[in-house]
Amino acid sequence: MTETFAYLDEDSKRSVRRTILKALAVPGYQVPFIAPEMPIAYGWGVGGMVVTASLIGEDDRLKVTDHGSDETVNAVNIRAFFTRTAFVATTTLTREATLIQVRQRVPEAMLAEGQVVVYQVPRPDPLRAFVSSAGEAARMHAAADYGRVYTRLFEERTGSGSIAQPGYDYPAMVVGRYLMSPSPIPKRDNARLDNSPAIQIFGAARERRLYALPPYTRVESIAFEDVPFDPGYPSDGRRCVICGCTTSHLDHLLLKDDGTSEWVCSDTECCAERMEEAASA
Amino acid sequence: MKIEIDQRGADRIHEDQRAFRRLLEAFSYPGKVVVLAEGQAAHAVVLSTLADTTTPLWIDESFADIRDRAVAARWPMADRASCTFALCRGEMLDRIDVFPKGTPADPHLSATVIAEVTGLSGGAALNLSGPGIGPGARTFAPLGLPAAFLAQWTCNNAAYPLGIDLILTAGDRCACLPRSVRLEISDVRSR
Repeated sequence: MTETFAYLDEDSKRSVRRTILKALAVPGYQVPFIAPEMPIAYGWGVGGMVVTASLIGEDDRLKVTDHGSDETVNAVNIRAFFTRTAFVATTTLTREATLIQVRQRVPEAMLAEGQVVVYQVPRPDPLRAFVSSAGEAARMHAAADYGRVYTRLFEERTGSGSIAQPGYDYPAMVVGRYLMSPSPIPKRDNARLDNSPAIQIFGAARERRLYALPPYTRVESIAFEDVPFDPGYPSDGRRCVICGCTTSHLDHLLLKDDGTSEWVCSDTECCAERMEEAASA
Repeated sequence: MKIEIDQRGADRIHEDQRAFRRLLEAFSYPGKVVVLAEGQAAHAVVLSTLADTTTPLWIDESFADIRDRAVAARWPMADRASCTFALCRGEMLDRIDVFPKGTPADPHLSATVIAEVTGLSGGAALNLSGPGIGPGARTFAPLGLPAAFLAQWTCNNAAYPLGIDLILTAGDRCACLPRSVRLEISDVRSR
């Protein structure tokens, strides 16, 4: 059998498929996976592409976004790749998509049962921010030894007041057992991972790890009982220069000569929808 | 002599893909009954979709034809304690602690057990809870599981994150019970 579909060979797909099932069986646990090479450099979404290639079929309708946008280079090229190698239909509408590959955002539109969201992940292990050894991190996961993470959180709270924890890739606890990297999504997006009706699969090719969230799985951003998680909503009154939205996640577009900034919705689908609604109103 | 086991040729790519996506759905929404491939035995479809020369199998004697084909395809055969996939009858699920359940560092190195049962409905109703079970809960009433199964499954839950994952099949249909799913008899009085 020499033909391939969606670029990847069948042996690799079968191995990835087995990994996906085990990842779903233990939500949030990073399963080692083969991460075969794709015709794109590691770090540009190979993990996500391998998962997508192992899932995709002729009947699928694929949506790909990068930073929430359907039109950025990474999204356009990955979409073109699967159009050419798997002949699938594509869409920019979340509700029409059966398979959605994303990078750095969770779609803002509602997800539905049966949909699969595939995340491209650069750094799958949140513990590697605390320990340099992968073996030690694995031991800590095995023992659910997450004390150091909470200590860091406490130190940030009581220390200089500076926030060492970034506003993206904020660690989350899955069903109270495994600490998980949500991938570099803004921390406000963590809430969209929780209790989602869709199947969510995370592929990290460089680190050769794959993990997953079955639908309706409890995902909690790490916090203390008396110091709740801060989703980091901006308070500077910024609004999208295209649709005027103030509640959507906004990307910095440019800094003007007078020192003021322009912002634009990162989720192009929702921005376009708001524009259409405004036009027809 | 070359033993041709799988003569489906290029169609296989699409058949495997369709079967896997349906299996993914069954695995993600535990207890949901799904047809893997119309008119084909689901237990055989699971194996042909997921197993290969890298996955040690334990296949019960009652599936001698599948075992013969697996051996001819050079799929490795193992005993129950060291298999990646096991294929057996539902009655044999009175002992699931004999299968590998992984290790604390590698909970994924556990067996996926495929068990053919009498039916996926018509038995005592079980309430499911855990990941994959949405609002409104889900009941599942497989027929042909041994009396000891529930106690065994509770032990499997207790070992979490270790444990086996179960794929129940009946004819061309299947439903899955990953290790994270808890089972409760839905109405104690009806026993």
